Amino acid sequence: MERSGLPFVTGIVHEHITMDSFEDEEQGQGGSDEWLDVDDDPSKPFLRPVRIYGSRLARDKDVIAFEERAEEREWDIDDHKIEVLELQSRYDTDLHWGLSEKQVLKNRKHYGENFLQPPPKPSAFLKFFRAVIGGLNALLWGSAFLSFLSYGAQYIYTDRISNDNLVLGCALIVVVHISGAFSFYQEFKSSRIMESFKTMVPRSCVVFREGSRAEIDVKELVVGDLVEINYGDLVPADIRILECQNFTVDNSALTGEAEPQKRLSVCTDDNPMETKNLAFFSTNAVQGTAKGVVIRVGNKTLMGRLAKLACGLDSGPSPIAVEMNKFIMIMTIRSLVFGGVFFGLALAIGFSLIDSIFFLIGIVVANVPEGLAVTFTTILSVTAKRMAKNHCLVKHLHAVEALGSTSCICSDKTGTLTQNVMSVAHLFFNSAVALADTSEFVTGQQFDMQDPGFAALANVAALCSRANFRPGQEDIPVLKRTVEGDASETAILKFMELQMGNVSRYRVNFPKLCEIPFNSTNKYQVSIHDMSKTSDPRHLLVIKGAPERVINLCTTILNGNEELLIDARQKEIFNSTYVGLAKLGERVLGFADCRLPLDRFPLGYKFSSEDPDYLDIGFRFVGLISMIDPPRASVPDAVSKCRSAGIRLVMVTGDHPVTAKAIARAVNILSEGNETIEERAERLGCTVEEINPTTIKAAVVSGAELKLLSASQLRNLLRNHTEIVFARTSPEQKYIIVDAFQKLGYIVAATGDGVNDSPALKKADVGVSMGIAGTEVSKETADIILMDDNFSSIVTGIEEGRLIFDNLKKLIAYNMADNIAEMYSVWLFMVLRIPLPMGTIAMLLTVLGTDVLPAISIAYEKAEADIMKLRPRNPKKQTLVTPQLLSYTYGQTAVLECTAGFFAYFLTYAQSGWLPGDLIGIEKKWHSRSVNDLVDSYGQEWSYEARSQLGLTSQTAFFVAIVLTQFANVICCKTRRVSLFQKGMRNKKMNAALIFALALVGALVYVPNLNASVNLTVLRPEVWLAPLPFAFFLIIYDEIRKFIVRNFPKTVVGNHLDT
Amino acid sequence: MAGKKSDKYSPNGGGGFGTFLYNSDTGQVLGRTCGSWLKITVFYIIFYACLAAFFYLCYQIFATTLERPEENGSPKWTQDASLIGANPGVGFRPMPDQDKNSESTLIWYRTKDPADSAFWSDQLTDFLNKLKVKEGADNVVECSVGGNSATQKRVCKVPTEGLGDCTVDNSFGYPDGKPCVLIKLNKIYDWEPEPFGIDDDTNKYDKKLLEDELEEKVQEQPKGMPVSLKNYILNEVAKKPGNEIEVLRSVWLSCAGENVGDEENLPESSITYLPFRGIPGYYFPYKNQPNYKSPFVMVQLNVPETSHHTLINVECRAWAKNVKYDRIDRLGSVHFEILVD
Repeated sequence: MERSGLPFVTGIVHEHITMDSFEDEEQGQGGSDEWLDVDDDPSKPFLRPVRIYGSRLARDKDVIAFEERAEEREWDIDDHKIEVLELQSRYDTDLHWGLSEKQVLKNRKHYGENFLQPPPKPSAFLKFFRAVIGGLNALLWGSAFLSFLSYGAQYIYTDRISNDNLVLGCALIVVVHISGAFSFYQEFKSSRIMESFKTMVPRSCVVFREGSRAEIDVKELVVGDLVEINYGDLVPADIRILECQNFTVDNSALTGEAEPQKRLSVCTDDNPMETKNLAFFSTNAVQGTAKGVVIRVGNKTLMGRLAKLACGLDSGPSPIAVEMNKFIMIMTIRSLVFGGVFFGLALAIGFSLIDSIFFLIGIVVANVPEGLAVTFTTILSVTAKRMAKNHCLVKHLHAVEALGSTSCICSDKTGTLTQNVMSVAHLFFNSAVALADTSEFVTGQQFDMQDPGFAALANVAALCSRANFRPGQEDIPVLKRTVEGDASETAILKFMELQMGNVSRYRVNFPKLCEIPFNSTNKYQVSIHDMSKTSDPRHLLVIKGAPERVINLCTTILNGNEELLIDARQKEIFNSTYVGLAKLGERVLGFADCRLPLDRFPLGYKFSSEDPDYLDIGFRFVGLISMIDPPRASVPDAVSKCRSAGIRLVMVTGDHPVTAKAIARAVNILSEGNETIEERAERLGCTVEEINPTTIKAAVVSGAELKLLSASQLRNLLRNHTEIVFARTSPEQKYIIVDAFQKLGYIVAATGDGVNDSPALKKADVGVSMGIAGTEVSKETADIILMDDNFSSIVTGIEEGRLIFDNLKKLIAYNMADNIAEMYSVWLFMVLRIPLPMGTIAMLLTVLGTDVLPAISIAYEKAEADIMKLRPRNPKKQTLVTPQLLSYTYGQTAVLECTAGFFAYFLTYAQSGWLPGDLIGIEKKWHSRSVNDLVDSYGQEWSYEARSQLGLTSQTAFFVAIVLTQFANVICCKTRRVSLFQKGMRNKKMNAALIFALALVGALVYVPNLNASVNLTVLRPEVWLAPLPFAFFLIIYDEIRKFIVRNFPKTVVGNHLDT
Repeated sequence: MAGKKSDKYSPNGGGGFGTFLYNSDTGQVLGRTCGSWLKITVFYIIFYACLAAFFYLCYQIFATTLERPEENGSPKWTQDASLIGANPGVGFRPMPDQDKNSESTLIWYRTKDPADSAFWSDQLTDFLNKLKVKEGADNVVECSVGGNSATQKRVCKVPTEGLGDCTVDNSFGYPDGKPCVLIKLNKIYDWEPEPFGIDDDTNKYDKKLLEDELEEKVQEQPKGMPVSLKNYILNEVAKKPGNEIEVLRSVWLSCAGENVGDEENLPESSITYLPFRGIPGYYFPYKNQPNYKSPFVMVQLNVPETSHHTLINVECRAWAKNVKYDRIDRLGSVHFEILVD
């Protein structure tokens, strides 16, 4: 099968979106910064249904359906609008005393309990039932039923009682149960891992009941309860806020809004999702405290409703399930067709009905790879285990392969591509920009503290801060410590801690006298410190804030030891630096200091923060510090791996386009030299309209722009741009993006952690949630959970997934070969009328006994080439079971194995006196109990008893030959293209499996009673040698085949031989 | 797995099965052009030719270890080394129609219906006809106790006379309700019967030992040697003084109703063995000699009138020191039923 050529992009561009709509948002805005635009950024209507303008008719059915559901999401409540007293009576509560115990019980009964009812799952029994009767097992049930039928018929119509059919039927039923139980157990085990997640978060909350404060389990909470929330808590239910201090919540899990939201006690919006006096269940309180009354609990909370909606989306089969279903269909049709044809043929030739049914069963049993279900599940779970070691927890086994087929990843930015911590990236001092190390593992000093320019900046940065380490973390690496304070301050504090060793000790020397906290009008923060412990007792004023504000308060700028007046040139340097850093998507802060003249501000001067009289004296500008949530160190590498693996990477983030673009550039999602249309326009100094849009391969699209696109325009956008960043998108838009990619034929993996991401996760072929940052709901919906939230874990997963596809192909080639060889033996038995070459029990023994371990060991085969250099498979063309694979197994390996089997079979007969020619056509007399003197080639006469012993021996020889050639086959299956000599026999598990299988055959053949019970008997040692020439023939042939495939892949035969 | 739409996986876009069979645009038949079908056919012809040649080669190499049956060769493994064992089975003729029921061993006919009788007697006629010595078969000799016996090259003529009522002319007694059943011993390469009454050490005949050994057989449970056979053997031995060992090398035969009821329906006195109650030792060993014919004993069952319309189970056993008996596995014996209407 060809792996070259991009299969998905379907040719010529028919339509190109007008680029006019792509307003250059980022140019206007500088950096995204809570310091700069906390309030001028009105909360975006993330939870409103997405409107894509354009013909609704032209849009896709399920997108429309999804939007209709989104409308259901409009939350019709008025609890936030009504008077507090009304609320009190509505929920029979007392807003001072809290609920009485009696009322708690009443309200619990009336409004329900406070936990999220997990979505209804099929019961364990139903799952087990499904595992036992589903898929290949259905065929086995059919054969078992036929076995019993023919046993019954035999019992009724003939006096000859042979238990073979009964045993076979029972064996088949045991097999379906074992394989069913096995796959059930595997699924059960991975779902158990999920259960453990839920119990990992025991939570409690503070509640006021009957006037006293109590800490209770969140589950105990009922509507009407009065609760207190402190920063760091998760909001325990949907709360109407009654009073709060500086209360801020992080709604990102719920709405995707990246910035923490201020909460107030007054209703600010009719829309419950916009108003500021509601806090939602399971969101994070990041600052301040609040007191509120519970208005919704459990499933009725916003979170609960969203979770339910997400779970309501229908799930289709995974790519590998599609492949398996296809395979099962092929096998079913084939076995029924073959079985039917030969049943009819047998009747036509003149076999009795019972014998014909016996052939039918033989053919069906020989055709159904009974062991495949078990080995298949095992291979998936072995790989899943290996992936778990790489922090990639697989919830649904099938997702393992789906990940391998992935051709497009829609990735989050925050936390997945980035570290999810602000970190100092650049510093500007001494009129120059210096780069700071943003990697996760940095330790120790990076800059010279003796440098006067840096020292001044560091001094301001250390002192002008309200952030502190939580106590008792001295043993923890600086970067891992918890900090009280916002993200920017945290970044600076950690950076300074690394530079200075101990910031708090440093601060002790300079007690803070006065402080102006940051506010959105000033956009700066000032503190004044007592310097009496130093030689220069003048007060020190330090200020940090929005750079343009800070510089306006300065008159001089520090450059090394000298202070320069801020002139036009200095301003120019400052501006270009500031804009440059902002363009990198970094959050920039300006720093300045000043020694207050003692004459105006003598020691002991009472500084006022309300009415500052010290801001006009002209400060000394010491520098800029810019921060970014830096990409994880391993991500750029992972991205380039994805790229060489032909996987499209799309960033879908709620962040600002500038930041998104900067990170995309940093991790190479927007690759170097690949400009967006705006960048090229800027570089060439022309307008966007003048650029030929077909030459542009990169794009940054904001959520607002996305809204304006019709579904077909969106698809064109995705088709025409290889590198796209979606910024400022809502989680709903993520769903739409995923859907659009799927419509283009991509197999999409989507990452997400918020509740609102759940629909997208569910829609995607592989939903990936985050183990650390992910919400329960997103983990519930996801197929795979990244335990370390790290994007590069996905790449490892993809590698495993791709390997497993190859290995499953090998597995099928291996498992089918002896099945088919056995089927051929039944054919030849019927056509040549020779004594039975192989009994059905022996067939089951190969498929369920000797094959199993070698088959599983295929899972441990390493990739034969750099599979991450190949394009993702085309789900339409590169299927698991290709015509080539069928031709290879049916036409080549199976024929070879069957030939080997017959060689051993004829050899056994010939040694005892029956030359092959004399066996043909003898079947009826041979198997007749009344013929007690059948003449062999040497004139000897054989009694029935002696014949059946001989028959058993040659059946055993056939069985052994099949098993031994299967050994050769599994060795061939180690590689699909590469020469065996290159690969070697380094798979220890396979070698062990082969030795074990050999011991197993030995036991089956030679252990007394055991052999009799499975219709086998002892063999002369030399019979074991009979199949060996054919085993070598197989290996040599397969080497030749692989040689042709490697060297002449384009020829008809070369292509045909490539399974 | 989550929300995937199956339409992604719809079969390879349009066309359908008709187009698959023959695509007029590309000239593809069953998804391939004729040229590529040809190439693949050529590949498979080469592949199978190689495989067939390899199989043939392997078989020829293996065949060098075998002796050829047409050159009077011996099977690779014989007697106990082979699965045929050293315990010959017993066969009978005539046999029921194998095409009608391959499992049946019932000889059932109506005396009044000549066609019925003919079905059975014709089989015996055929059998006897095959015993005729072919012209130019110069290794066939007349054998007798004390006279010739079979050797590596030489075989004994199987006489077709001296069969009493069991002759072609008499239709083997079928129309008279006294059917003859031919009993023969399976040929086993190199097998020879081990005589009773021979002292292992001296290799000499010992009358006392013979009597003891026969008595032991008579006493065997559940069913021993009929006393009549013991007496017959002793009698035969006495007849040929000096050739006792030759006589004793025979494989003796006894037929009887299988169960008590069968014995009542078919008393011992109504069974006649022709020409001799056993197969004389000079026919052994069988060594795949050309023109070797199976010796036999005709057993005439004079089914009493009273036992007509009754199914009688008959068991015939072969007796020699090295013939083991197992009723279930039918070792050293044969079972058939007879029903005369």
